[in-house]
Amino acid sequence: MKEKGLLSISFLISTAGLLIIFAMGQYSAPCTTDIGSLDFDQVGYNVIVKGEVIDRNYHKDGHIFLTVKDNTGSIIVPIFSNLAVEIGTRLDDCREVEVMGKLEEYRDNLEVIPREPGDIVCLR
Amino acid sequence: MAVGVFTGLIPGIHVNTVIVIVLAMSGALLEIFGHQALIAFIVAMALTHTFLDFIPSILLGAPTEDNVLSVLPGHRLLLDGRGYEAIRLTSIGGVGTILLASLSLPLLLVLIPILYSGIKAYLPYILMLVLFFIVFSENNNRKRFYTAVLVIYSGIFGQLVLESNILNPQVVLFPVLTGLFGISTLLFSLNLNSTIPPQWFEVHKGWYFRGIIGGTLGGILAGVLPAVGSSQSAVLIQQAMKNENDERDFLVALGGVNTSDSIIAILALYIIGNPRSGASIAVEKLVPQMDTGGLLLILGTVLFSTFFAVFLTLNIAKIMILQIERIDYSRLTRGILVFLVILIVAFSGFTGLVIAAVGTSMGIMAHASGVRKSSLMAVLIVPTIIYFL
Repeated sequence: MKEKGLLSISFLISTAGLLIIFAMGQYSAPCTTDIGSLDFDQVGYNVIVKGEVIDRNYHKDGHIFLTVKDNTGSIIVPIFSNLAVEIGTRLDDCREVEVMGKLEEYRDNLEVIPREPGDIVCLR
Repeated sequence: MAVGVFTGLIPGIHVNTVIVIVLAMSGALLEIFGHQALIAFIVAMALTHTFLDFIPSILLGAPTEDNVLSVLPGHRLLLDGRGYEAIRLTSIGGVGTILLASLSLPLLLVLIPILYSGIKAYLPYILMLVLFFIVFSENNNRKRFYTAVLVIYSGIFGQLVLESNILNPQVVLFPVLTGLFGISTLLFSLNLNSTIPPQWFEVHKGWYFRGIIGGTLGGILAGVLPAVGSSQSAVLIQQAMKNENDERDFLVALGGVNTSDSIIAILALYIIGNPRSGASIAVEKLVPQMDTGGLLLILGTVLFSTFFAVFLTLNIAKIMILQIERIDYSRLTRGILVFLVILIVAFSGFTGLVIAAVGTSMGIMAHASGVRKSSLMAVLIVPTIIYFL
């Protein structure tokens, strides 16, 4: 097959493919999940959890560790120092949050790790 | 080590898969074998894997995340009758970096914490510069244009696939990289009616110091910094080795990055207290407080295993090359393509097939436009840049 024709076809397929993958990504976007239903098989996926902030731990390196609880369980939400700086004092008095982040495992425990300030919404 | 041979030779099977099983059974295994034996098992397996996994990458065009850039120079050497030499070069890199890292361990104990805290802030900008360099180092405007398109497309591809829930994160890289670098190369070979010439087992003699040093430095970078893997480090090294004669040094460096990354990631547990790989996470679970005794056990296992890993790699490579020579290459290529598609479907389903197809079309774009396939590494580099920004 001539190189030029191959280039055109592969360009079209790549473009169409990216659009399909984008649509698939939108379709599989995370929705709010019960904390108790999260398990280690879901590590690496993006999840959304919502619940009451029952503990707030400030690390000497500037990280903040929230413990968020709903009626099915609780989970740690680490907010690393660079994100904590961007969030500022917005969460200091927050009693209920909605957090979107990547589900990770750390020392046998699951954590939801937000990446951007907009990933944590104070509900109350 | 036997398990490392198995995971290295079979595309799509990674040491992390075995580690998950080991950890699930760790209670019983610890009672039978003890901590030290299990740690030695994990380290030996991880190390052996890094030597053996170049064999399917170079001979079959089936790369993993860690050795993906070996496909093209390795494939070129294979089509030049020097497939054995390509694999040998990666083994030289592995051995060289292990020896260099062992000898410079006191320096690494000082350097790694500095690197960890110092470079992290500048890493996204360094990687951006690398992407600019990949584009502008092409020798005419037409190629620069196509390279830029491929960098943008593969960067978007990586960000869409790796940062969404479209596929299980544990398996998503296999269809991505197999499509971009494996299937596309094999399809293009079929299109060109490539044949495997008789293979030589005589090799070009050399010391490859540049490759060994580059591999060690790249391995340190990949082993210490989060979200930076052997491939991203390899792209940085590749930019430093631009001449045709550097292809051998590059394969040495790649072998070195792959092996030293796996070991430095475990050493990072002792030096900075953070695990950086599946194997190091497993070691941390078995020994929560890494001490000097643990460090010495790991070093001893590494040095002991390296000798056997190289012996196995070179001999298995010879056997496989002798078999490949007897087979019609286009039939072999078709067989490998079918095998890879089956693996993709088995591990990642129809979604993985769609992802592999998109990756394949981008890989073919690179071949058809005559630009370097390292531009497709944006699939991992762009998500890394975004992670650090």
